[in-house]
Amino acid sequence: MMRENFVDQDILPLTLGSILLGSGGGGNAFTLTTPLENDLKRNKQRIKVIPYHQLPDNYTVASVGLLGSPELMEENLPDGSEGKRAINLLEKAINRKVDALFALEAAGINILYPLMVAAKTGIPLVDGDGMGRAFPELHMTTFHIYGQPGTPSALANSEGKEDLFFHEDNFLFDLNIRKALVKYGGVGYFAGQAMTGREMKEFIVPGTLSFALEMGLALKNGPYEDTFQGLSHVTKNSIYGQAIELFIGSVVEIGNIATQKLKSVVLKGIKHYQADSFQVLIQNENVFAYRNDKMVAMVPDIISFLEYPSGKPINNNEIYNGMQIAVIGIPCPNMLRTTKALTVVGPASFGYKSSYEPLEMFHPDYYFGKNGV
Amino acid sequence: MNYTLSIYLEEKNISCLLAIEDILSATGQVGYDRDLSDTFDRLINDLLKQSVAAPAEIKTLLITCDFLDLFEVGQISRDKIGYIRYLPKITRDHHPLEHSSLQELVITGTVDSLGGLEDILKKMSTQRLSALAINPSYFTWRHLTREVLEPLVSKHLGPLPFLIGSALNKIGYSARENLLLINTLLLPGVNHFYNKLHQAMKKVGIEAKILTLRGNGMLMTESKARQFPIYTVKAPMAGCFLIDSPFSGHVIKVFQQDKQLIFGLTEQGLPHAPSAPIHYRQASFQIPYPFTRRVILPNHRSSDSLGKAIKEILTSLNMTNESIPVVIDLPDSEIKSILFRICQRLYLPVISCNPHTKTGALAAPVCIEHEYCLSDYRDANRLKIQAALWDKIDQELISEQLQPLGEWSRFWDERFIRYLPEQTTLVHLGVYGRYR
Repeated sequence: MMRENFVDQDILPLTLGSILLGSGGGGNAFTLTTPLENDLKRNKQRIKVIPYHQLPDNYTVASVGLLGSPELMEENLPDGSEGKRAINLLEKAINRKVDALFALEAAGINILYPLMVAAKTGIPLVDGDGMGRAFPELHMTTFHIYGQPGTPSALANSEGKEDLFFHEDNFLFDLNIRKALVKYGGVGYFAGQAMTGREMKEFIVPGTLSFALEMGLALKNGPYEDTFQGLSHVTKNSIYGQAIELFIGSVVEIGNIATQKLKSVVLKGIKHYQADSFQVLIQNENVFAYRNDKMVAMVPDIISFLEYPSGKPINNNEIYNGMQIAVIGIPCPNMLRTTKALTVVGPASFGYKSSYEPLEMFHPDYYFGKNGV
Repeated sequence: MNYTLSIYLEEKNISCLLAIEDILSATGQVGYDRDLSDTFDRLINDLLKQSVAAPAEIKTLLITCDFLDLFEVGQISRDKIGYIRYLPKITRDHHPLEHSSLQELVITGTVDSLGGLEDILKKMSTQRLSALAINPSYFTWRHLTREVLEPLVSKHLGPLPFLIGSALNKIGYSARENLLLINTLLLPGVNHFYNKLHQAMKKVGIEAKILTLRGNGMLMTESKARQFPIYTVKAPMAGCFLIDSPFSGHVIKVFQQDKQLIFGLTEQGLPHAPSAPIHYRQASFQIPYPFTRRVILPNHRSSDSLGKAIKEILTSLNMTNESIPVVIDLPDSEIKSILFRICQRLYLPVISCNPHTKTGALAAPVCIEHEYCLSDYRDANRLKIQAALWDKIDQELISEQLQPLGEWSRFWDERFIRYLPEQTTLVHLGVYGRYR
């Protein structure tokens, strides 16, 4: 169900849902939960949300979010004023007022920070984003995939640093903004991807904020079995596909693959997976999953972890040896599965030299068999 | 003769034992007196009466306790502490330990400058505080050192124990805050504890080195224990997993506590202790402690579900799918035979051992370790820096007269902080050793 505003009680479920959409990455969203809840409670404030289909065509919309290291962000917690300064800078560059904001990446901290900026500025937030999950690079968005420029974009930090970027090439933009982050102390807050409401409706992954909230409400009700049932119901009735349990096991190894940018988490099965092993390869986010050395899920489909048996969503930084986790797969929205999209966010972008196989094709019995949808 | 006195502190009792090498010479147990030094006095005197050891022959004193448990039951004091957040910009205004009852014990101030810090210290000087924690944001670690803060704290608050968050060498403000605050809450009581222990030792003529067991199964020096009592969390549990035997690889250890069967892993005789979250009075913090799996024992021992649960845990702990030994320390013969049967089915060899709960510390190695935040750890400097830091560790080993346990006992963990210049890296290095 599309929401028209968010209140303080929504922040915790939004956080939980954002972790699941983070596919293992996206930073520790809980960092911003309490300050945001407290702000909304103190000011009895509601954050206005525009359902994407109600977004006026002539509106100017722009994305806001965090770039850099989420853990360094926590060392100097933002209050939304950095994003507000970035928006002001962007408005000067495009010579237009921003009427609505959106999250570029509706996952982890980058769901909560746009909410914080929307609360600070009073500018409404569009229900949707440009990734439908978390990705490691700034140009891995539906806006880039379908030809929308990322610039002009503004970057600001809490110590008063500000920069504008005008690169036409989104890859070069990503490279240069990350270079700037080093001078910014590892964290920056951006405003960019300015476009009209009409353009946005063409490229947006719709309804992701409401979807994160609904998933979060299901995730509040542990233990795992109940959580998974709730998730299954919410995902089935969305632009994503129905969630599938890929594995339940204990973490036996967390390692780096030195020659690649990849990390790996190895699990040994418990419950009805006792005879099996499982491996998840990670590049910031979980990108490939293997059961007994056979691929069972790949990017851009979502591969996320829930703590077992509590059912609490966790990101990759929280995993330790011995921990019991359930691995959940969620088919990504179709707009990330087109040939065009897969050249940017598909397995080849993460070093896998074969073509993309949708989650449903790896598990035909679950999705199309007698137990399927 | 070099005797070791091992003291084990529980909620209601203090037990101790005197050992020479691996041989127990005497054991004892007393309840707490109102004054800790009286308790130690009584305990040590009782023990010395049973043994032929002279006080001067006791060279090492080992402490096994979980100071947080003793804090919980009031065996060590619960006084108010001061807490100062030092941030580049004041954006964090919610109470620390927000949903925890510990919040009442913390008086908090948040500042963004040295001037502001001094003002808060002045205000705090009117309150009765027993310790102070200062948590600078990572971006101010380099400037807000102990050398800078010590004169200020001592000018306004006198000789108060205080700890700076950067000493924990962890990025992540909230996680560091909880760890720092819970640790600082323990400081006054723990310092009082060691002072009383020294009084009692002096009274009977013991001049021994005091080592305290940590939750990761290592021993730490008294000065480290006084500074970081939080590291003793789950230390008694770690003691149960320490194995002084020729097991070099992985071992599954099983023992019974209350009405539970507890399973854990050891490697090289040390508990498998990953850094994992602990929830205490609705505050959570992360620290290394033994990873365990538990089964609640049903009234009917023969129940199918018990066998099933044991089998599942043994299978999941046998991470390499090889026949790793299972060491059992179980008083209940019925449970023992169930375990034997299951291990047989899983092709796991079983070895019975004596209870380790209170003797574990005798098998623990001493850990010498250091943590650094290096801001110029680039390729060209890397080897030079590593060599210099190892050199420092080796010198400490020599001065402490410790013998490293082997090459495997040296560890070097580094964590590169992304997006910071010059390869900023958190480094944790150390070595495990035993006294020569």
